[in-house]
Amino acid sequence: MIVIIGVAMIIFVPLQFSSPDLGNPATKKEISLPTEVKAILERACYDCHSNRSQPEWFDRIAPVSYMVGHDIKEARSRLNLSEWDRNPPAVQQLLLWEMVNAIEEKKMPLPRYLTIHPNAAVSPAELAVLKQYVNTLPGRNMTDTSPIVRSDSNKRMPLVPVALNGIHYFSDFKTWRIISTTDKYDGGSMRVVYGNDLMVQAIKSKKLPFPDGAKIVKVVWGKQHEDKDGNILPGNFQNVQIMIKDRKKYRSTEGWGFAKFDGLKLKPFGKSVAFATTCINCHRLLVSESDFVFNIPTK
Amino acid sequence: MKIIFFAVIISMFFSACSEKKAPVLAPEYLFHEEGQKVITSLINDKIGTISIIYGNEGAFRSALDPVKNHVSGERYIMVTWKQKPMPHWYGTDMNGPIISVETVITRSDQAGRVSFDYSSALCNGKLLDSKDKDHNHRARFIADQPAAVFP
Repeated sequence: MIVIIGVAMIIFVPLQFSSPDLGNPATKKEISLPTEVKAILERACYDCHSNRSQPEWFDRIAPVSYMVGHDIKEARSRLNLSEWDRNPPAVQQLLLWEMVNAIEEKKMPLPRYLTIHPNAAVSPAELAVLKQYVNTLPGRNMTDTSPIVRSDSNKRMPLVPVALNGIHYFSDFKTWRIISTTDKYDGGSMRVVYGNDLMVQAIKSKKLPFPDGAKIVKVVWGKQHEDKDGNILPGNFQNVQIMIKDRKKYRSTEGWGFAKFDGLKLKPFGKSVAFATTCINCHRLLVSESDFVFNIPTK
Repeated sequence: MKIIFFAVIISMFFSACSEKKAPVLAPEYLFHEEGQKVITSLINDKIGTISIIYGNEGAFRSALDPVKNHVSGERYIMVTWKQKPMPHWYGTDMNGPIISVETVITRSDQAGRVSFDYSSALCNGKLLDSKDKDHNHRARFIADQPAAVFP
């Protein structure tokens, strides 16, 4: 017994000296929220997603401190409620909807965090408060009132647009089959989603994960005002989003290559190749069980 | 030693995320007919549906024409699905099962007047909206939709 305790001490004590620093950086621009919403987030999210972490005493003891340090670093890089103005307004709204979804899907707070921090649990009533809040954000029910701008089909594009990760825009998706159509009311857009033959065959054979070569193209429009019969038609074209499956080439993003081309000029999205990380982070968090794809027909 | 602890922590991190429930794919929600292009899509929250209007080459040309001079041989198909919440994303609705497939074909008589043949396949024999009982009105509604903007 003495030997076991001795060995444990030899391992345990030195670990404490290399334990990560769980201190807080300065708060830059705190998110502004209604009091009842903020109270929920402060209790359930702030320990990782802010610069106001308050780890418990046991969180500071190695090896637990390593895990806590890793979680906080990762969480702040994804969503930091103390550095809120780092995100443009549209991204802020998307992050808030993503947060609600992560809670609803029970992906957040992390289940292992909840095991030792049960006080961080979000109750169904609190989730309802958060849902009510995101439904007040400006993107909800946003309509496209601008005159519709059409591209000149006789004008050929000088160059094929290419995303920063090398994915070329292509237009032959227009002959593919539709795999879904959506009303994204959280951001005021409507979408038609195409799949190539490999994608459609995989859906028909009810096979997951999708095979290499499977491709998805999502065409996104704004939404016009509802007419007297309740019909809403597409407004201006916003962007085309592409997902291409190649497990080897896109290993770091779960086998999917992402690309987005904005506006009628199809401007490649993103400032660096890291743009795809933003895409996969959300897909990885919420739809890992659907081979990281949201827009597929499922029961 | 530090490396071993890191390995243990990382494996805990990933094992905590490994709870998966596989979705059931629904190929019966797909619609396809050769030679048809997407003209536009429609959402109707009042009756909880989401639709796509497809067309053959003639229909597509007409949909791009702001004056809408219909000619014989245009064929439109309006597929309507029941809306359902998108799984795993609160904030989006998507198509569920197909509830109707409506077809409009334009024909012209000897005087060159264009008429609209309308037919529909409605699930459970139910009409979606009593206003749609006026088939000519419904046919014109489908055939007169402008094409959504594509790059």
